[in-house]
Amino acid sequence: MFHNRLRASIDLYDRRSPDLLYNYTAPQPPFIHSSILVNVGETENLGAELSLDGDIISKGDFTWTSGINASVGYSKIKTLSNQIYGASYIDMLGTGGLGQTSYYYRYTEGSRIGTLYGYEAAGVNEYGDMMVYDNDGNVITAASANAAYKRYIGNTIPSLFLSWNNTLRYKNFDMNIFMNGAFGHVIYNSRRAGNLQSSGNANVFRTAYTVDKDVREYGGVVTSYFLEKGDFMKLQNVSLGYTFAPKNKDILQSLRVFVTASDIYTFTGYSGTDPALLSTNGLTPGVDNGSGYPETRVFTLGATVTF
Amino acid sequence: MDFEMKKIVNVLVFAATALVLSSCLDLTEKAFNRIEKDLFYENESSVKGAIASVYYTAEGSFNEYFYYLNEFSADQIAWRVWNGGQWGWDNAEKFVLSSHTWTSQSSIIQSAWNNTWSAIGLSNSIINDLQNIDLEKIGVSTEKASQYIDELRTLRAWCYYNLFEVWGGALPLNTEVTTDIPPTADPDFDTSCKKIWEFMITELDESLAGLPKNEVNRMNQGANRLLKARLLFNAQVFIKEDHFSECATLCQEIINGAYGTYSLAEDFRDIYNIDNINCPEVIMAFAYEHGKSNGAAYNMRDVTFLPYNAFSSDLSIFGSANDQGRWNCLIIGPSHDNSGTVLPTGGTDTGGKSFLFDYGDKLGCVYDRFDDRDIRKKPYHADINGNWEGLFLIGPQTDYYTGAILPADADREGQDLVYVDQVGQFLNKGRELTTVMSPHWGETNSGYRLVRYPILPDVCGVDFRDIDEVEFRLSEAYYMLAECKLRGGDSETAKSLVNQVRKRYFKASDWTTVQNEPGPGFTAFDLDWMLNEWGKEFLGEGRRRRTDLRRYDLFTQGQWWFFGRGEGDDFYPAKRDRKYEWFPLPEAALTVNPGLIQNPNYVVD
Repeated sequence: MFHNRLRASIDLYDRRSPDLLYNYTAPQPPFIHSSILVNVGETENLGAELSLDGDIISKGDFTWTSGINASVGYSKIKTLSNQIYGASYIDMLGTGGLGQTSYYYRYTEGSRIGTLYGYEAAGVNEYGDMMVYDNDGNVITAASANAAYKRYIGNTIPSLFLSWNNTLRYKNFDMNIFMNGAFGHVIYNSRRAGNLQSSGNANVFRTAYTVDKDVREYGGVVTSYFLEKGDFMKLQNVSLGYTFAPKNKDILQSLRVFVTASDIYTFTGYSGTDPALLSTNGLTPGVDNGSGYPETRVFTLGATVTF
Repeated sequence: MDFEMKKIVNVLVFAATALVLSSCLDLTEKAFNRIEKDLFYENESSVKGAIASVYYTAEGSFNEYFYYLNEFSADQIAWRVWNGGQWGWDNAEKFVLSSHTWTSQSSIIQSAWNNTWSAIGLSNSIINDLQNIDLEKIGVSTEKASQYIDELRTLRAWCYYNLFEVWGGALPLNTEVTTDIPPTADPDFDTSCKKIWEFMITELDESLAGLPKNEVNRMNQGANRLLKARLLFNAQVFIKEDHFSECATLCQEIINGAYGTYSLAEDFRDIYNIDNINCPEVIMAFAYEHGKSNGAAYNMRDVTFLPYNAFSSDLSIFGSANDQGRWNCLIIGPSHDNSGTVLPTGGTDTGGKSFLFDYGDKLGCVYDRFDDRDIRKKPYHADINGNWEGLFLIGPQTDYYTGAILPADADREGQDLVYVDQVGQFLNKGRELTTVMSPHWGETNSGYRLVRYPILPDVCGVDFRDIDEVEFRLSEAYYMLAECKLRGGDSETAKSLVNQVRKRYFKASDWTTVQNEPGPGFTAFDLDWMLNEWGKEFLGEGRRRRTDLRRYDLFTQGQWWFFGRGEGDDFYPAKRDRKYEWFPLPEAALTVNPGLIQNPNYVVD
């Protein structure tokens, strides 16, 4: 379009994955062991990708090309049972801890992947106990809550992935700015929940004494109290270069010097470490439990020499 | 190549391909990760090994999960959370048992279920094997095989008994190796209870003949009959029928030696000592040997009551550096409330009011219910020759050799470890202290502790984990007979039978008076007294307290410690909903077995 200055493409996808492997509860009796690995279940992955590229400015020595890639989509569990093995739900990703049996995710047929399952938080009481809502809207302590009060409290898979690339050129200078981001999801800040004043650790987060000073314990269950918006936009890469064109091409064809910086800044409201590090793949994404190592900011100074 | 050659080559190639393909088309698998039964059974040892696996499976599950189900939900043992309601809380996993607030999602219920059916499944599998393999080839006579089958049937009946006490008529019956999923025995809960009860009685009756007598570590005739006696004894609870006189007859036969030679231990310690297989009172005990037995098996023995530093190398209560992990989670039900002025080491100056004497509770208050002259009512101590006395850990805990006081941990870090017979937040941590608090609000030193199996100093060379776990003993027959007599109106015989057992707990000089006293808090030799005696004799043995309470209709209708007391979120009703008389089927089992019918009291509309 516009004399090739605007290019666009759109991709739509619908992928089905049948015969997934999972450990199903074997009925006891009559089986001796409590679980059995079988091929049951199907997931469905639906989405669209849009890519837009434009030469915004192309005037003489100055050009500016910009491109956006956006992708939207979701995944669903289509089936969990067949005629022989059935599960009305499967629980995934245990919260851990001594004798704990709660899970972050509960998938039923038709549920979206990434939807967390837990109690809806209602703040803390005067003792610092976590309070949650029951099915009638009453506020009760998390410790006395019935598992029937759990519900779907948020989705950890972004509804929109965005990346934005800009290339600018002026005479012999070139500059590239690359940003990427994800939006529309929440993150369960399990690190914050596990580092409260009551955690028994010698070192806790500063938030334990500021934002969370009234919270004595996280309640031992999954609640929406520690859910935070995971939206972010990260200035992933900036590089600036200058190309020398030597007059004498016998010794040197060209020389380009450049400076690059990566992971420069992340615009986000999430209070934990880098939201970009959290996995958004698989069946149990979005729980920040402290195993992600922060990305290093790298500055590179270099030269490309062509003989 | 000329045409003829080409043809021959083609034929040869075709033949070669056909040969190769035929082997490619043979897809029968050779499994290298399992051994078929015809290969596995080589001789009689293989059979014994297979049967041993059932004992092994049974040891682990029953000791741990059924102990939780039968003791925590009753009045004598409690799972106490400490450090401001957090350490040991585990999402209320065990607390729901003490507070009678469990649901079908409770994980303990799930684990007990799974483990037991594994043992039953194994029994079915081996019985099936013994009926189908070539016995001659492995050198086992049909008579011997049928004896092994009888042993398995009794063991299986015992597994069912444990399940039945908990779940009743919601259970399915599974006695075959099959992939068909058995449904609940009958759509009507009560009819189903009857079916399963009758199944167990039949199994026990039919498998009696092949069992040995007096073989302590295996299912034997005495154990078989005592188990049947339990079924008859509790028939009112299980199937709403009175079988007390039939039970009395059977117990008398057992006492008379019809199913093995037994007599009451004169020294009660022989029942729990390392050589308890020689004790004439022990009818059946699971063989334990550290490193060879199921590791989970010792989890409920002693260590659940002990502080983390009980076995330190520099300071130890027992003079032992045993490596078995300590839990510091169990206590015996406290005898006192929290009234009085708070002491710096926890507890109060007056020691609080007694639940037994001041509140009039006939349940709970374990320590106070023991007579002061009872030789068991002492701090546990073993000398370097292995002679031990007392059952309890009370007051200041000191090092075995130096007498130095052990330090407390968690909420009382930096202080001396002094056990008090009270449970509450004396430091107001997480809750303000109130007169009565539930086991959710204990401290590290709250509650007296029980040492059921003796822990001897290392110089004695005995590891407490090697002591065999007593499952059936003669005293039970005496007590069952006594209660049957009492219910029939004959309190004199009841008193005399119980006294035959009780005698060993008192010095001869004290006995002359004690034998005519029903004990602290009780005024007559009546049913209340009988229940009390059951509680003291079988304290912490992990098998029977819940069913005993049910027989007196006190499991949900009886009051002890914090039930009916406490404030706000810490209030639990004096009488609980009757639905808790039975446990619900675990949710996970219902999901995979559409034929299982949940106990109607637990169905949420």
